[in-house]
Amino acid sequence: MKLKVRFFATFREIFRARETDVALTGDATVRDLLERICATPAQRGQVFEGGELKPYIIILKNGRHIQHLDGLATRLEDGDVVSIFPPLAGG
Amino acid sequence: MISPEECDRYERQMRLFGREGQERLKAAKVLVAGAGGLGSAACVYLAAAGIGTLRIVDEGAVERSNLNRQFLYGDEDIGRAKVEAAAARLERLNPDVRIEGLRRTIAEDTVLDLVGDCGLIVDAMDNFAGRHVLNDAAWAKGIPFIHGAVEGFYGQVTTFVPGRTACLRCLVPVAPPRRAFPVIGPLCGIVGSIEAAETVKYFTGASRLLENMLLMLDGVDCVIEEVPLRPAPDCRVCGRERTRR
Ligand SMILES: [Zn+2]
Repeated sequence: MKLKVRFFATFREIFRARETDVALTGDATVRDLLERICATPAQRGQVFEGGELKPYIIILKNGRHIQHLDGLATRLEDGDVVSIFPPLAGG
Repeated sequence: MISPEECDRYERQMRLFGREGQERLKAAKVLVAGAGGLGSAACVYLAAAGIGTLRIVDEGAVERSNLNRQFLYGDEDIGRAKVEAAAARLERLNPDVRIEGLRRTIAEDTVLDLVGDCGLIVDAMDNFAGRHVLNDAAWAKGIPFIHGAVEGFYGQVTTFVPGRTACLRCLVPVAPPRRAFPVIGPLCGIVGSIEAAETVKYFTGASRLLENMLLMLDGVDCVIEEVPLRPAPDCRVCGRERTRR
């Protein structure tokens, strides 16, 4: 399956991309996708904490936060758009 | 009724939405939650546009480190209550607007009282705990909640409308801890200005709103991108209502 991953805010600097296309084999989950895109320890450190998702990171699958789906176990489908960014909190 | 002086003052915008639209702005009461960087831009444009009543809530006093972005204030305001300095500045800008400055903390036990009979909430907060409380109050009252946030060279803005869109808890389920954030003033200005534009559009019905659409501003590459949002069916604030419909 082919997915589109969109990075926003400081994740653009960390992943050195605004968006990227990722091909995964069937039955892939959000965890599989994140394992694929985190190529360096620095990138991994932004996303994972002890094998689990870092708290507060925002991951939307087609506009819906994965915390309202099945978290890292959320299944992905061909054509999905996954947006990833840290919360911007300031005002 | 709109006076001849008001017709003169608002002439350029009344070309867009007429006397009727201007009357609606005059009848409107808006809560601006926070009088910092976002609040500076939102308050100035809302007061200039002729919103009838602006209720501004902020617990803080002006600090020197605010002045790179919070242009409601000047050097002479350091130490003064923000809501007091803001009211003085905005009354000078447009004496027709009623300014209610409240030096209060927005919390679960105060928010409904602070929102009162305001017809819309502008999010100009600097933390998500406060934003969640405002989001829940907007849903309880059935009024729009314009969300904005900034950090570094980046910003985000969207319009939440009860019964029509996702809510802030769909997008940010857990509030990150409060901390000092880096930011440049112009990003606050852009996001706060878009929040003011959404408010004017809502009351006048002049144009579509940023419903279920998160705008992400990238001040490094100078681009603004759209991220479509979908409500979460299990969201504890907006979800139940949606399954009932
Ligand atoms: Zn919600």
